[in-house]
Amino acid sequence: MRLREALHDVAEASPPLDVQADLFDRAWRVRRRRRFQAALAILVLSAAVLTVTWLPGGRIVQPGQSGDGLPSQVVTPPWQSADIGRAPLGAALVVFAGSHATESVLGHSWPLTLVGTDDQYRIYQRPEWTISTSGRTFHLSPNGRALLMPYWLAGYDARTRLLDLTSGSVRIIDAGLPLAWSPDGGEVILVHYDGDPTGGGNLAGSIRVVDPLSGRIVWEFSLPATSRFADGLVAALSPDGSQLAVQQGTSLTVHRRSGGIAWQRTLAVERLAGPAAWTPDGRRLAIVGATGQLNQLDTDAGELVPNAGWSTIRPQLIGVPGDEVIGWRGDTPVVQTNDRVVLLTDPAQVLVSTPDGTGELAVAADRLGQPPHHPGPPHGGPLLVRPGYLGMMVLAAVSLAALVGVPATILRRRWRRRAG
Amino acid sequence: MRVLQEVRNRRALGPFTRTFMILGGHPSKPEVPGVNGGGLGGVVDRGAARASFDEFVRARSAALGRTAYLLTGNRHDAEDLLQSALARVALRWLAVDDAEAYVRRVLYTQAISRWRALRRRPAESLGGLPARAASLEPEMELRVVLERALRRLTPRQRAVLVLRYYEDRSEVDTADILGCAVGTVKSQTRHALARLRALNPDLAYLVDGYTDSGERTGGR
Repeated sequence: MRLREALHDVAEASPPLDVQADLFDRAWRVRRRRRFQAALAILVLSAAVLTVTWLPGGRIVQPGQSGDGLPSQVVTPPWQSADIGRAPLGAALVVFAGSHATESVLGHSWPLTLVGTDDQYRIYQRPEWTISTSGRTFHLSPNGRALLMPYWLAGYDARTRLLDLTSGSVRIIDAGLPLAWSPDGGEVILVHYDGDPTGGGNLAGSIRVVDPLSGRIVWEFSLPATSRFADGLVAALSPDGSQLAVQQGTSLTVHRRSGGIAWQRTLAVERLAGPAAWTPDGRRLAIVGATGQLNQLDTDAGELVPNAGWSTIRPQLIGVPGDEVIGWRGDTPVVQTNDRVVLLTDPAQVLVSTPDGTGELAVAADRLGQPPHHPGPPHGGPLLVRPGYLGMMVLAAVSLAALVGVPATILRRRWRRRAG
Repeated sequence: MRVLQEVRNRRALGPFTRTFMILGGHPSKPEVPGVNGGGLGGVVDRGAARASFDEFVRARSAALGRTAYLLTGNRHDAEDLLQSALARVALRWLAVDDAEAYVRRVLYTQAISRWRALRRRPAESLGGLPARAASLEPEMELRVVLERALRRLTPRQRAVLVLRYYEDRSEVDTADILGCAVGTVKSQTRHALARLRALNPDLAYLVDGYTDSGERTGGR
């Protein structure tokens, strides 16, 4: 006798097995039941996901909600706030960046924090370190729906990165580096250099007013060759868009869109006050004096207007690099420093404050006319799109399954052993 | 060719429609008369499919049950395994060409499935095997010893032995059915035979006619 015969003996001696009479129908019933259970589970899971997604902290903001003023205070974004690309804000009210790079295991990064309506916070990881001819490395559109950033492919190939906050997508504008938005947000002012502006030597270039949607240059005029890149270049479009004031070094020039130069003057130590240097009526142009005071030029001829009324008001709020006029509330200028937005009343009112360590700030200028609102707790965006959140959910699910499943299996085995 | 074309046509209909159709005439399936005349290409109701399946179960469940018993070592698990395999083929009754081959493949793969092992009853005998059972006839005694020893093997080792020595399958066929490499079949066979020898000296008598790789060295 060998193994084969022995196995056949065992098989022949095995007890007859019972097979359920209605196995065919039972199999189909079980399949239907399991499919129903699977569908139910998917339904419940989907409901849970939707609930979690729409919980406070995960609400999705509808684009362009209007009627909100700026938040009076913005804070450090919640841990693992969602990326703007995965959870678009619609519109940002405030954008700010730290004064130093953020260090992580992946290296250095230069993230921007974007704050939208309903205290929604998002992060935008800037792909590269950047510098700017204007001293600012990002420019928020007046309606808060787009953000311009310098985009250097190479020293001689400088363009503009436009981040669309309604979709989180990025477009490149080839015409040059960003300087400012027009007051109505319909155009952007760029500078193009005929070479590498970070190199030495005199360099000519041009100012280009561009349609941000199409990238088409709608107005362009030449800049004289200069080596004063590091001194900054400031440009401000008049409220009606017919004139553009440009300061290059000590030279302040007002160009007409219709052609030619309206006037030009040399400034000793003053500088153009920022992208909203034109008063809303277009009759004055704000410049910052040597000690930080704000003065006015008559836009007809470029003459200094005495007793403008602002010069004695908290001059310390303006006058350091980065401080500029970003809008007006009536006749009162709104000044933005590196970390605050201030209404230059007497005494001055802080409209927006930022957390310690903020190095650069931009706000949606269209909201300056509305009173700031006191913010609630910050929300980092839909939970499911936050970095690492899905991984944490999976880890939690596996842990839960292990915590519940292992004891359940042990109990079941014990029960079966006792029953057997 | 006509049969294959018919199968393809039916598969193109989708599972719901296929449920209510049946292809008769395959060697491993009883031919079923259809509503429109039956046989090849006939559209039949679900009752006819059920009848065909029931006939297959009546004809083949005893043989399949013996394999299931060898694979599991006890009646309870064997019934569970067999019904699970039959239920699976019931769901694919219209799509499977060779029902018995399908069921056998499911029997073997399910027998060594880790998920199934998790809910399998614990082994009934954990102690050492009795050297002798004086009250039994020698041949019956050897069968009992072998049966108990089989329970001490791993599911995969049992499956390899059943395929190789009960069904007389080649190593290549065994590897194909179990979904593993031929080398794995060889090593599992070697380990299984060595374990049988180690478990009881009487079993050495059964396996001595085989090399460690499972090849026969002499006559029966």
